[in-house]
Amino acid sequence: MKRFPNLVLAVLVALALALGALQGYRVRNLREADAFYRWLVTASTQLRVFGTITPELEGEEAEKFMDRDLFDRVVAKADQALPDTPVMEGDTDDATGAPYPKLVRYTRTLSTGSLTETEESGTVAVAANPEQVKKDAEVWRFARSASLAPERADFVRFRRDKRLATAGTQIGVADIYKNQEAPVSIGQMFLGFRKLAAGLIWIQVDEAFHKGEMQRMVPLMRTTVLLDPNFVDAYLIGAWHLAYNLTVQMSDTPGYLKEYVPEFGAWVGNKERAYYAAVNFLKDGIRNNPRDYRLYFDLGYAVYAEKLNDHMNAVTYLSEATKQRHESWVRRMLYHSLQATGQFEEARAGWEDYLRANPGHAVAQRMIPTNTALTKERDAEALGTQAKKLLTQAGQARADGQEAQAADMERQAQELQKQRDALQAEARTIYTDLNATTADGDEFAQARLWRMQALELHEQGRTLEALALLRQARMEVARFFQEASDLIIQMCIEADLPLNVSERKRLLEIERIKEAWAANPVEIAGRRFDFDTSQDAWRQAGYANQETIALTPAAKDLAALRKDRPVIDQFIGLGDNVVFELDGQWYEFRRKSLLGNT
Amino acid sequence: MSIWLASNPWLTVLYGVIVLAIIAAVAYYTPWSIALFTFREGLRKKTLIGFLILSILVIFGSMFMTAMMYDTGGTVATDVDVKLIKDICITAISIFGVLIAIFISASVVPTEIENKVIYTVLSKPVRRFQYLLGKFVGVQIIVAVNLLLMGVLFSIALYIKEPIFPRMLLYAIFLTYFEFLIVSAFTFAVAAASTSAVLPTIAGLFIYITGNLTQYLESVVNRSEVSENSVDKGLGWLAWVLRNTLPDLQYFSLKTQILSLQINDTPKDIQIPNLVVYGILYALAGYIIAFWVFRRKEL
Repeated sequence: MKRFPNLVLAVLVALALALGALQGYRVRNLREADAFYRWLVTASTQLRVFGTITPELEGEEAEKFMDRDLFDRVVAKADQALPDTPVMEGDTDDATGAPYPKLVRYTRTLSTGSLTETEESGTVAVAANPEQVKKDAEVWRFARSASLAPERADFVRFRRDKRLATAGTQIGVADIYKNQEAPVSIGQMFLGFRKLAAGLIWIQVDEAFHKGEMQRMVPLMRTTVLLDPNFVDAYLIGAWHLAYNLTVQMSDTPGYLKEYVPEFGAWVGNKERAYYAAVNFLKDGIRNNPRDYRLYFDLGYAVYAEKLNDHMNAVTYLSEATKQRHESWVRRMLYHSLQATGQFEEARAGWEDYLRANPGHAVAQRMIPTNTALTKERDAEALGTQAKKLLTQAGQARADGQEAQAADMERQAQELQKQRDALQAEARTIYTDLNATTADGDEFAQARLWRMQALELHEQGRTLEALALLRQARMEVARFFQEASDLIIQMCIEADLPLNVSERKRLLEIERIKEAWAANPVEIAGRRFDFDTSQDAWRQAGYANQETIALTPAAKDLAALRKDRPVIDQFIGLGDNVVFELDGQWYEFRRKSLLGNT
Repeated sequence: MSIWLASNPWLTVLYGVIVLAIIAAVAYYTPWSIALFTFREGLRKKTLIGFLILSILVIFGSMFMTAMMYDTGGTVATDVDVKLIKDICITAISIFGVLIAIFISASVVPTEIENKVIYTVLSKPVRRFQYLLGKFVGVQIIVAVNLLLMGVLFSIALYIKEPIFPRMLLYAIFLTYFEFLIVSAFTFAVAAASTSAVLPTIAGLFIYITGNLTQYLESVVNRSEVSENSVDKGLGWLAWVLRNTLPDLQYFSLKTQILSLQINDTPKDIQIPNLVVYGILYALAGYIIAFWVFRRKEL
């Protein structure tokens, strides 16, 4: 030091800087591992929820995305590196019946503790599961391990080149310049204050909302989440603005003017475009924050169930919401959607669990018998249809001179009718009890009773009385309006009775929709679909009465198929009855359950 | 090789030993009387008090800002207001805190040269590196106390809005200190070469800004990789050297992540100690440069 002080000091400075630089390298590596860990959680969650992590694209676009390739490499290594873990409930792929890869099982949020509601708030957040905390730590160790270094490097490269669809929106300097709509200066990104910039832009969104400048809000909202992808509230409120506030003053697009968008699997007008913008916005939020139940809940309940009346998708997302740490009312909305898709047994089992956790819960107490009655009603209608079929066959047999066979069939039909009547009586008793035990009467139970009574009257040939009953019922119970109206139209057509103006208008609209559909075949994923007006059904070209597998929204097979082949959503969105072919097998999808819209 | 450097446990142990040695050496060699004197002198500076008052105004102002927002749009129950308070407050702490760190680091040595106190001190049996160490430690105490004060006020503001003890805030404040430590050390190095506080102050601001921009050198490196031009290649190489040598203050953005901890976040157990080591090592480099410049200074 004394002889060569400058040299010694220079060496010391160089050494300190070198050590600092090396430590910087280590920190950078950790930051990359952090981003990689998040992506693993996101990709695993998406695999579980959507059944795929690669968007269904064609040609070059499909080759661009590396999600699946990279994820498969990581999964293979995880099978070796992660300690064994038992396969638990919910760890099995519905599509294949096989357990999910170890990594997916590790990153799955475990169902947690109590669902009990507190008296003060009516809601309670379920605490983190200690086992989950341990598993997360294990995956984090794995994500930053030396064995995964090549995959981590690829992840960084693919993310930079925007070749990971599952990574959600990622910001780069260029994005800000490219996004002409984004009213944000590059200066706001500097000095690590991106989150503040996001917050300040969010205040502008709020201002725009109160000024009624809805169109200005959309680019501002996108910029907000681009700057802060973990700003979950921005996703939630943004989607609410899109689905509710933006559309409130829009008029409905007539059905015959709607356009089919396979990407959404739906016929869309102006309002629907905004709803699906909300869907995409929330899905982006899920990619960035895969463990926040609020995003799944809002997507399932606020948009799919409430706005799009798509309870099938609502069930998918609400089920996922219940797998994350969630508040107790999330489950209630799931059970309502299960009921709406016709999965009455599942809904009832859910309500029973709920009642066990919350003894005396008024809604659960009502919904258990409601779903029991609905199950009986559904079974009764199935028996009725079977009996009708047998009677028709018996008539034919008698005409062919097969008297004994005809008599046997009639006896069987009578037996079925007896069973049907017994089930209907049981359902009626349940509804009557429900209606009597609730202080102001149970609207839903009352509507079901009226419906049953009207159908009975119609069957007895007393259609005018049935119509009078339904017309009164739809005015008394708002949620029964559509179903009652459809029944009225159906009965009037069957009995050749005149319709009133609004019913005629509705019928006319339906006819115009059918005409428009018949005139415009739809191309989806290289398949052509034509609307068959005689059958009220969409048929894939090439269908010639081949044997089909029946699918309904309540069918477990459909849930499994949708996970395995998400392209199905694009087919079944066409209408209430769609016939399509997949891997050599023909399927017939029927949306309406026997009970119509419950 | 690279992954060995990134995750070798023995290297972690070595870093631990180095950091402990630095802390022990600082504790042993620091003339605490000089450090405390620097601290007391710093508290009297009007500029610092001004910054502190401004930061208090912003911290409590953030509550009004979100309150107004709530009044006009409070139809949906969300945590947006709490998030905004957190973001505004941590930004205020970062801005005013770094300004305090820069101003105090830039002025302690030049002021003593200007009012000639340094001659009296150095005529005593105090070695130059010790004098400088005392001053540096004194500066750090001022920065830490200011940070603590702002942190307490932030906690109160947050507690008023959301009555939960803001435990994560402590980690965020703790990390912020190490970001300031780097800026403060390099500003101190410039101040050791200067006779006035103006130049080091400007240099300090420059260090803070460039420290936050070093990650953009990465895109220069990436672009040079796909270019065939030799000038581009050369620039890319230079960018690579700078990227790996200059401290990257963006690493400390982890503090904002900690504040709004998400359920899918990774455990922060490893990242925080690594950032602490990072801060200490660059601060050591800054201090050695300061001493290198100061030891031959004609006084």
